[in-house]
Amino acid sequence: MSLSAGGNQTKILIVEDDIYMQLILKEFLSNVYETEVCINGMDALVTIQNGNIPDLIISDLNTAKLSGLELLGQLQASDFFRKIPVIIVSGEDSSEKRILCLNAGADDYIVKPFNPAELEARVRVVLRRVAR
Amino acid sequence: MEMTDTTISKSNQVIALLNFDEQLSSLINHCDFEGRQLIHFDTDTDMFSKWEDEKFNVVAIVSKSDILGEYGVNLIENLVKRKFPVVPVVLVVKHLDSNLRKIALDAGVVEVFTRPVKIENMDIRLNFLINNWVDLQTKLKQQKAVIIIPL
Repeated sequence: MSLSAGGNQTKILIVEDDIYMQLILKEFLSNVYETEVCINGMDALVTIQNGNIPDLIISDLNTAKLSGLELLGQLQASDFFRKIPVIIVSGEDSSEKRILCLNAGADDYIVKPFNPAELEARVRVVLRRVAR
Repeated sequence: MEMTDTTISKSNQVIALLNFDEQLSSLINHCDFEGRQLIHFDTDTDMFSKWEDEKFNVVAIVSKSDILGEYGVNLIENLVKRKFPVVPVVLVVKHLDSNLRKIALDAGVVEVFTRPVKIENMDIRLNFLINNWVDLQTKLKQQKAVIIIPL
């Protein structure tokens, strides 16, 4: 379960309960990044709390236990974890949801289904912005 | 060590505040901890004595101390030695960086707030940690118990 096993490689924590989506995200990201998957926000918080701190979190908006939005709320309220950037992925293509998530602290919002190459590009943008 | 029973009524649950100054005490009185009691202690010895005498139902500890200070990570060691219930320990610190964060997380500190503390953040995090502590603690132990065997 450790994210740190791969040394200095950039670590991405994927929070997704859909197995098919997990496979897609891992497939396209694991060539470049070290990835770890949690099935809900609660498990993600536990992973981080255990000291496995990722460089970026990609979270589904609607996981069963602690949604993406609730996870964002906890991270933003935490002085330990506030600086971890978060990209929300969701099937809901509504302006209201985008605004809600961005106002809650998300660094980006991507609608499913997405072009994996676009996801990779957005991941790079967020990581570049954080590195500055 | 036992875990505190969080199923009892919230008015009987205690958040122990350690080493608070006047400013921090005033600030925390504006927090909404869902009706839980706040009890102040000047030292950890005071807290341990009162707990041994009264066995009050402590559900969290908030300590004003830097991570390497008197009531920072040292406090966690003392809690274990005294067989104190396993509860979320939160620190209010002046300084935080990634090295200190690692030390704190490794020691078992679950959250740190840098001064000046934002009340709403303390509300959100402390209530969440207390309300979900049994679940979080169980999952933390499960993840730590995973052994990775290289192929």
